[in-house]
Amino acid sequence: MKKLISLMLAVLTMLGMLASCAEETPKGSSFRPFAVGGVTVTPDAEAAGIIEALGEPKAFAETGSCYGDGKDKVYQYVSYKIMTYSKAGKDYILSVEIYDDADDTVATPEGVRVGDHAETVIARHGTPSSKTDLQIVYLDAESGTKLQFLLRDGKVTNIQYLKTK
Amino acid sequence: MKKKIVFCICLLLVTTLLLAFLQALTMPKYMSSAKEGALIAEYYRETPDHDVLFVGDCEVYEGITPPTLWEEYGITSYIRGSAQQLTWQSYYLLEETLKYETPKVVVFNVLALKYGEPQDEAYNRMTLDGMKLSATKLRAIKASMTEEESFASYLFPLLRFHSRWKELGQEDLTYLFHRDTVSHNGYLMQTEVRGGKAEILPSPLADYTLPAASMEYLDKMRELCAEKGIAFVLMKAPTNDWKYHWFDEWDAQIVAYAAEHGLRYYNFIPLADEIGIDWSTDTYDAGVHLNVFGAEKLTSYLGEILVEECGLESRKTDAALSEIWQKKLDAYYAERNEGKDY
Repeated sequence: MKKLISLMLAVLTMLGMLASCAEETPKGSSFRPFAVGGVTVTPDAEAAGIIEALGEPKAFAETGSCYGDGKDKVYQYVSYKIMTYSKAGKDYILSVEIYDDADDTVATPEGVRVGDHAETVIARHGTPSSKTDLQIVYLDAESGTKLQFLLRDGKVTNIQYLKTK
Repeated sequence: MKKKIVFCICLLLVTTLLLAFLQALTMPKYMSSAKEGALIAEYYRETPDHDVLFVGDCEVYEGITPPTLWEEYGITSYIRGSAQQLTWQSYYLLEETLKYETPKVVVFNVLALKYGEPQDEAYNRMTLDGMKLSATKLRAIKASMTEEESFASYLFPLLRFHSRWKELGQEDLTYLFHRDTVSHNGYLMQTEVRGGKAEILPSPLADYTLPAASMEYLDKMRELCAEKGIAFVLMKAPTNDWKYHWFDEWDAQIVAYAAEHGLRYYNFIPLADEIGIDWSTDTYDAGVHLNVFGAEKLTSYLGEILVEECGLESRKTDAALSEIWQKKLDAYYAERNEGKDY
């Protein structure tokens, strides 16, 4: 009988312990994050200060997450755009995308721009995590970030810094 | 000895009831926010007698209004839609729904075909937790779980939601044992007007091949409908924004798929003008989703297709059915005219 009561108490105690589980803290990335005009844009960084420092975007849009927890936002500048997500009332960087070469100051910190050859990517960024005719990918499992170069005919058409978790 | 057995049984019963109570208390209610989380469970309160069943993501539960289909065409319908409903979830919801009824037409919105793997627990929960326990639900859970999720937490959601005890509020007590109806046969009404389409470029992809996993479940839906003698129709809602962009490369694959299998596929994106969609008034979030005014226009257009091309006939001569749907229309217009939104 005592064993049964102990078992019941153990189940309830375990549930109580589960309630106090701590959340994981995101860690830093091993490759250099995107930077423009002296402003560094790191996935998962708080967005407010970064967006303010970058100035007025060319275009802006926001939409409610289907889950209803805040808004997903996109700030489109000349040659690059920044996507953010909301968590607990604050916006955080979700991804950065370099979409064209109109602004020749916009590149990866390692110096790769849209229009560069795939060989330039490898030369400047080193051995990738994966490479196909369509993309070159650098993964940082520890920080959960990914740097992705989209290719067409051997040239970079788009560069994306993304969260992978 | 007998007393001990009775005591043990009582203790087990009390513990079970306590855990069941805690589970009911801590599970999200989806009544005052994120109402889309309540959609899936609402179906079980409906009389299963529908000409058309819609399955898919927000583009169906924000884009199609069953009361309009009844009012204009005498067609009965239900939307088993949910937030970011993945293709395998659509399949299992279809499989489950077909145990209750056999509609004449099943319409599937194709946007979710772009997802080839489980995406997000929050969305999974909004689709799966509302399903009744069945072998179909268990298969749906297995197909949907992300790596971080556990099968047991879907069977015993208390394992997942126990930490909500810190944020329990009045809603958790009010809706401890019941839920209000938030939809109109699966349609979640939005009356707000926030027009204009942002000039944001969609993010390109490395590879536009639709994932094999989602196409496999599209095959399964098609085959299931064929077995039951149901017309399987594909649609893409007219919305096409930066966040949920439908690429031409994907469209070409669906056009080819539909042609190969003799299916009807309606991509409403290029038909938005013909449908009468006015992006300054018919969206509640700058073109991402339709509001009720846009949804009524799309439904009206689709209704004509269902009549003209799928051969559906008006059932308004059925007095009992008409009475049921008049009540639904009354509730629909009460909310529409009140201008209530979420």
